[in-house]
Amino acid sequence: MPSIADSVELLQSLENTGIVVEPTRCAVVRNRNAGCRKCADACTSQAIVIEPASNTIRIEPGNCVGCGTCTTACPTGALEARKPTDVALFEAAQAACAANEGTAVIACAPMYDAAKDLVDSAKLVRVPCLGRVEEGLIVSLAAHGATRVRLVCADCASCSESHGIDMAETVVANANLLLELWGSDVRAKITRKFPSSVRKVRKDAYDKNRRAFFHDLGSEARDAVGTATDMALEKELGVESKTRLSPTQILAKLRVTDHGTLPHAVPAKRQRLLDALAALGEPADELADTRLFGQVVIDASACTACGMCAVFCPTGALTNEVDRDFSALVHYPGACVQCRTCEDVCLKKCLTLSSEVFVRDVADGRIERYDLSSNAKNAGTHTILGVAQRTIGGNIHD
Amino acid sequence: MLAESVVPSPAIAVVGRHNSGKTTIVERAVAELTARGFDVGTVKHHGHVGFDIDVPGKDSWRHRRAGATETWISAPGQIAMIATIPDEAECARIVARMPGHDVVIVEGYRKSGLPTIEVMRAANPHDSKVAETFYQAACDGVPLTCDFVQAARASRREAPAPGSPVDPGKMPTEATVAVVTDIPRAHEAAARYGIPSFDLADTQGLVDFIEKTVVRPRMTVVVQAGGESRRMGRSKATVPFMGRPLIQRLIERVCHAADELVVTTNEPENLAFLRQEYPQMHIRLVRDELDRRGALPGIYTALKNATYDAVAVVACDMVFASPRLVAAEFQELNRTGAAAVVPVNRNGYEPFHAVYRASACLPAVEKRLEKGDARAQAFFDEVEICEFPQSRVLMAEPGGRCFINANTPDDLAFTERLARDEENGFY
Repeated sequence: MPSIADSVELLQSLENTGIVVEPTRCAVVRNRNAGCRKCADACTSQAIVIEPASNTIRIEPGNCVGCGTCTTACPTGALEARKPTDVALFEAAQAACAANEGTAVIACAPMYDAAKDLVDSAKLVRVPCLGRVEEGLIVSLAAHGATRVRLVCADCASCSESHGIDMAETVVANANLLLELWGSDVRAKITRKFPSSVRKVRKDAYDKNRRAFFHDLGSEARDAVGTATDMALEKELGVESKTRLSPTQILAKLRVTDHGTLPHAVPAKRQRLLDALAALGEPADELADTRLFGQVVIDASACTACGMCAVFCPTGALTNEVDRDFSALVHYPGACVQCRTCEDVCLKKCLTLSSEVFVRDVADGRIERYDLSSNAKNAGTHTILGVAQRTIGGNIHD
Repeated sequence: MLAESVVPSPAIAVVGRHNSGKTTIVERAVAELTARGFDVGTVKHHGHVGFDIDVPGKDSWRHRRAGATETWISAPGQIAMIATIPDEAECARIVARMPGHDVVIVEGYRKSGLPTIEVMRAANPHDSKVAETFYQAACDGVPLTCDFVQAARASRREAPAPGSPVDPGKMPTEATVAVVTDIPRAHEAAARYGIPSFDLADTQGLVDFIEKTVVRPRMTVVVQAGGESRRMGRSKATVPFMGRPLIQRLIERVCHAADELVVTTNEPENLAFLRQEYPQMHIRLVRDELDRRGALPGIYTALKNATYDAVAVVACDMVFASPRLVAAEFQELNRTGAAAVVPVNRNGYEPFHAVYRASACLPAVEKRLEKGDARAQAFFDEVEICEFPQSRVLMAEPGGRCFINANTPDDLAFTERLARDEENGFY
């Protein structure tokens, strides 16, 4: 059995790798003209370094406090938490919620650590900071039987890691809006106090003190083992190496596919959010203005159908209808994550992204189609097919 | 000498009768040119059938004896080839196989079509007679284009003295560009024809003349790596192409035409690896001169920073950029004296696969920049542009496609497929 000292050492070493970067999903790695800095803006310890000139993103381990707020802020899934993973956090929260009669309680680490002796650790989950909580977690808990969600937070003003409260407030507002629109009565709330249901009865507080400590350590150790296993598995599968790729290797992975666009990937957290919303049922026929979804509007009179927006869209919310042909674009607001790459890379500045969407479009998977075939002729002078045909004469595919 | 250069070498032939001292003149000229830092190639024309560069009995000699028609002898620092051919090789074809020298000096080969330097030495009786005939022709005003041996004979109405044949095939001709002699009448004749003449011992004067009229000017090749790359989404210079940064492909192509290689970029720190990758090329990384983006500021940076007056500008996204085309444009620049040689095709000018004369273009470029122009062609109206038609492009690079550039990730994938097909021989 490992000694306590060993366990602590293991936890610290994992702390450093608590956030993993999947650079091929980062909007700026994909296109240096993308203006997305949501992670860096959310980070208050200057741990995230984005260098557009070299299409790179990296985390300065020395600065990172592991709060996880950046993973919530990142729209495209380029930053993901590993300690615990989103799925592990949801499962733990769901179990705690069941043990706490339907009230899901998520506490930030400083709050939990301060009140450790006073609360029943089986009835709540601990996150490094409330900034780690994203809408998908709240909605998933609601979809899986939670009647209310409480995010318990220490005094952020005096917290050395007061990173996530702004993010948490935004997330709670967004989640509550979605819950309301989907007809759920569940609401999330940020509080400074633990709900009474998770408090221990005073008389056994002392007795269980030591047990709670070991239980707590045990759960963290399990967490650590789980993370270590995840990493070993990823290493086995060659996934783990993604954090160690050279810039050239990263760029080489970003080859254009047979669709004529860079590879697309809808973030797993978006999938989970959509699944949870679907589990809640049908939404009201309302507009929702959130940080989550987006609606692309293309000014067809200025567009040259160059297709840059679809080429660089990280999630594939905006893509071409026919492979290698950008004369018809389709947009699905449910897969749009508001990274605004499309706006940033649009050469004609004829594309805007609205944060207001009809939630039924999200639920129904409704797609907006833009027929730009009459605009495509304007793009001929810049596409290689046009130039190559004129340069070498005839059909270059012959 | 440039490594595997594709730039043709200019050549001049030193001619004269047997025993006129050609070899001595060539030897001294080569030594002086080399001392001045030029790279010199030579061709020795051997007038008689049969010579061996390897010693009978040696391995290579035995290869040839056994029937090999081409044998290479290779050793560290040295290489030689000896081949069996049906007739005599044309001088032009030999020189064509010697690219990358500043000058090639041919000894002999009077009828090569090259400009010739005529050697006449007083101590050689044949030379004295030729000099006399040359002088008489000059006095008679007989043009160098005609057979002035016959013309001189006709004017004198007398046959040449018996036993002193003057071979009409070994006289100065219209190809003669200089005379090297110690015969006063030969100097005088040359002066009458307006041809420079040098004393036998005046190696400096002769080499000054060769340097000025024959030696190839040098060329800076500038690869433009800067630019916004809005459609690519990242630096085009470092975007992977067939597994390596695209700029490496460009450098490895155009270096064969370059005396100096410059890369202009707004991010030199990201391209510093090129210096480690190609230490022998002494690549200069130059930051864009102006903050403004655009084609014209790019050309300005190129012209401003090039060491040599002739400057080839090639964009780093021209995946099939051709050193042979650059060399052909460069030759045309030297031949015409134009300010720039720019390919023209149905798309218009191709300013990013062109050769410019910095001294002639810079003032016009600066003027247009001041007016706020950003287009490459903006200054073309103000200088003498030599248009290089597609037919000439195809002569230099029969495969064409030199101007295909990769602007988007899709273009890149497409050009990569073309390049792979080319590598695999599916042209």
